[in-house]
Amino acid sequence: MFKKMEKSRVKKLDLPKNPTVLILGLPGPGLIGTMSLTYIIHALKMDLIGEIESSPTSIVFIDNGQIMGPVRIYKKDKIFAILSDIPIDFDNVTDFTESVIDFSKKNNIDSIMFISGIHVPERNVSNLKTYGLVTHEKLEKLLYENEIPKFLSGVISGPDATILTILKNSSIPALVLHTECNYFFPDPDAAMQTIKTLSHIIKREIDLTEFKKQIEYLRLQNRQLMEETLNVLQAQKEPSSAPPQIYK
Amino acid sequence: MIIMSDFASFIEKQMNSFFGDSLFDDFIHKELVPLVHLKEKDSAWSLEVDLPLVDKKNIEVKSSANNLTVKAKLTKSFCVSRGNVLTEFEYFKKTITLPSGINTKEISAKFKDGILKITMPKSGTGTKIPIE
Repeated sequence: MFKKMEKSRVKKLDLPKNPTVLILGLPGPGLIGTMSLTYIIHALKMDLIGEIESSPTSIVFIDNGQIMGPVRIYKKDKIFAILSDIPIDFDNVTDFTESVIDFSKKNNIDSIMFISGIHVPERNVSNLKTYGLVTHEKLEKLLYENEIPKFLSGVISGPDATILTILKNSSIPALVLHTECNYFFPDPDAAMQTIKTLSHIIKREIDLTEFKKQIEYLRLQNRQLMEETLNVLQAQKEPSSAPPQIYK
Repeated sequence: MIIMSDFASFIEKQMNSFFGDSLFDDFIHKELVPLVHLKEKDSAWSLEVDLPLVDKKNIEVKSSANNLTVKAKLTKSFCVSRGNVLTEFEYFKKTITLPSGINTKEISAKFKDGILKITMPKSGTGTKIPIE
């Protein structure tokens, strides 16, 4: 006797055809978030529209006589970007993420895309993979359409874990992209892979010629930020009796 | 509003603003300090040194009883501006204190994708401790 087929349960996909998205990038493993988002902002000629003031501002930078904070908001058409130039430590990551969600709600953001890196000890530079995680089912389609493998198992720690948890509990769907990278050194190759993946998702062509020319310099110029980021990432780990992994 | 007419200058300006007074580069000897990562494995220590803008032939690794020094010449000089002073760097240099129990004669090195990987085998000798 045949068992009667149950009605398929398909959740309605209600993401708009041309959604308003927010891309979030901050210093983390391999500096993927910062390097890729900085270039996307540059390539798409996004406009600086504001800052996140609640962020920890022990540092500002001056450009053309204007004082600017380290966490800034950019916009172009229906794409917003929040870029941090300083690592977000454990004490501030919750406030920071809540500010991002608050901003997203006020600006009718349909989905948040958080870009970061994941450590792969022997990564193949010519074949780096970007894995995706979604907080809401309706974004699963984006992974499928863009041939992004799903992050199936593993551990995410540090600020990324807190951000992910808060995003998961928020009403705004989020897509988290983790690209295989060198955790300890700036990894422009992995950042480039992230840009390629993201450009497909947001359906914008991003010319990487200028980025490719700067790869070696990006590694040189970002040494200090990488060092600062590792200090923040390591400070959040449980005290360990293991020998220090970083020599200064 | 920030005008990003050129990605490279934007990055440079940004990094110099936040971290311009580099905490670790040697401005007197005009030597950049590379990022390094030391990891302990079962039978060896692994030291990775990030050396962008460097050719394999221009890397020098020297070990003594307690220290290991990596010096590498850049293929192009790298300039860092601090205020009105422009410093031109031509070398990377880093000296680390070796972990104890290293067989210094067996240290080997490999350079791939701009990263120097130095493997430092443990000597494997020690005092056997009886178990009661």
